Amino acid sequence: MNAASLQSVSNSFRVSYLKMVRGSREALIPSCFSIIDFVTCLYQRKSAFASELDLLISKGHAASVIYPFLAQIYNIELNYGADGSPYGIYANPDVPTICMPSGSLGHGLGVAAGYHMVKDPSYMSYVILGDGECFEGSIWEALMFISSSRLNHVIPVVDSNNRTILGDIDKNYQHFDISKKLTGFGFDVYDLNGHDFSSIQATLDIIESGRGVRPSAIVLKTIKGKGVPLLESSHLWHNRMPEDSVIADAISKLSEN
Amino acid sequence: MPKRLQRDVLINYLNAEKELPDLRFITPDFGAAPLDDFRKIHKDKFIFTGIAEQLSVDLAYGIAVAGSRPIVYGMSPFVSARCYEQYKVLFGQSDQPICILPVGVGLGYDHNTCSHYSLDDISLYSGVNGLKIVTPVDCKRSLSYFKEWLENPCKLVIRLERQALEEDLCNEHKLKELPGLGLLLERSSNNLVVTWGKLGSHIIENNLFQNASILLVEEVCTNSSEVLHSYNHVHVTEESYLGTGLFPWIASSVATDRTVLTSSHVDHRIGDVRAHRDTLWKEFGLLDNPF
Repeated sequence: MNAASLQSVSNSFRVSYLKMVRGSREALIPSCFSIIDFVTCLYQRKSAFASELDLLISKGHAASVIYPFLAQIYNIELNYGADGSPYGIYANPDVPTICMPSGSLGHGLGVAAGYHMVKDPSYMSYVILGDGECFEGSIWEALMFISSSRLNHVIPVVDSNNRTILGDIDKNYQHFDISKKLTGFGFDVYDLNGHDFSSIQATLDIIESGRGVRPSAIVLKTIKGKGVPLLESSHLWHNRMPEDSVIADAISKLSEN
Repeated sequence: MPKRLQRDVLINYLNAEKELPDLRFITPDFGAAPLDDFRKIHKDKFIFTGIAEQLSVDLAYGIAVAGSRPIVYGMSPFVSARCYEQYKVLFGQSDQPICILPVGVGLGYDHNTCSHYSLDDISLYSGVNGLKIVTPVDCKRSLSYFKEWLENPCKLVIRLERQALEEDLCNEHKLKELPGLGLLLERSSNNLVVTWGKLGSHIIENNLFQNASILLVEEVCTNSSEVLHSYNHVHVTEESYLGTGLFPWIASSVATDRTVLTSSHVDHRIGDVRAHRDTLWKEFGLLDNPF
């Protein structure tokens, strides 16, 4: 599938997502939309949602990004945010393909490492981390362990949108160069535009061919809220629900593309 | 009878097994002589994480998801508090099994100041949904709980003493077993001392609190009200702070309208006190008789 087609598929999932959360009290749309293009690529390649723990969203506030994909795969009716529903902001193991509760940050890499130590699957586990999540010390414990244990099928994927709930990372933490840090831990690091489908596909081709001797990590330069201009404009939208008219407008524009 | 270390008993049990299918033994930087053998005998079952308690528990969860049984073994203060959130979020919200083996509960690391004391772990573990907390008083009983977990994996923490304990305190001192609760030395129908661990075994072995029955609690936060209701005066003495050990649970279980409830606890003055365990017991009045 070429880049234009992938963009079209990804936009359709953005639309599904917005329809899912429309009218709910709370949704963290920007965090989901910064990684939805990458998840779309994995989905199209059958590198996600095909095997146990092939995709793990460690940044729990973006866990809901996968619901529209699951709805399509499993023909599920999503009752997002309803009382008693497993489909909320954070991951619930009652949801198909989810094996780890999330919301608290910093757990996903270690969990994936433990899984691979036992099962040693032939496929990759992509663990999506927030760049803000990488402030957690447990991330560094896990990176050191994965690298030194040569768990090369656990792939840390950092969503580097440079935004946390209280501001831009490069303003709050200067010299926070995540790629350099990953390199220092012994990873081959692939720095990509997280919305460039061709680059993502090419990198996944390399990683999944198993050509690398060292463990691999991906750093996705992304735009938080990508696809909804208002949400792209400020970190303040991290946890704020836009007016319904904004969502309606976004659905309309994304549906045109 | 010579005393032994609980941790050695458990690890030696594993060492004697030819195979340990579906089991992983995870430890942050923490050793024991029998562990040297374990690393040779069951090399593929041993996971050394470095000084990384949070990673140890995250790994344990992934191992459990993969269908194996994880054991996390380490120093009590660090494998309880340092990775508490991992227990609470991952294991507390799932039914995945784990066996936590913290060594050196209470004042076990005497002379090491508050960084190494484990005076709050009971309350921490109590906050993890579905986690069963046991604190066996001798070697035989610690092995019994461990074997039960190996047979029927669940969410379990077996609190281990750092110092050597009797092989079979229960039989040696003719203690009455109260299933699901602990062991009782019956001496009085009016007065009851409630305690646990090394302090408890010391009380039994040295025949202290002679005008009271002694309840050595092994299974924490179970239903104990029937036992406690029959006494007029219940005294809790434990190597915990006032609100972080058995006391809140005991206080909620006694019939306070007719039972006198007293307690002796470690308090926060302990911060940098460097002393042997029995000196600390005296310092904080843990052996003072209130009856």
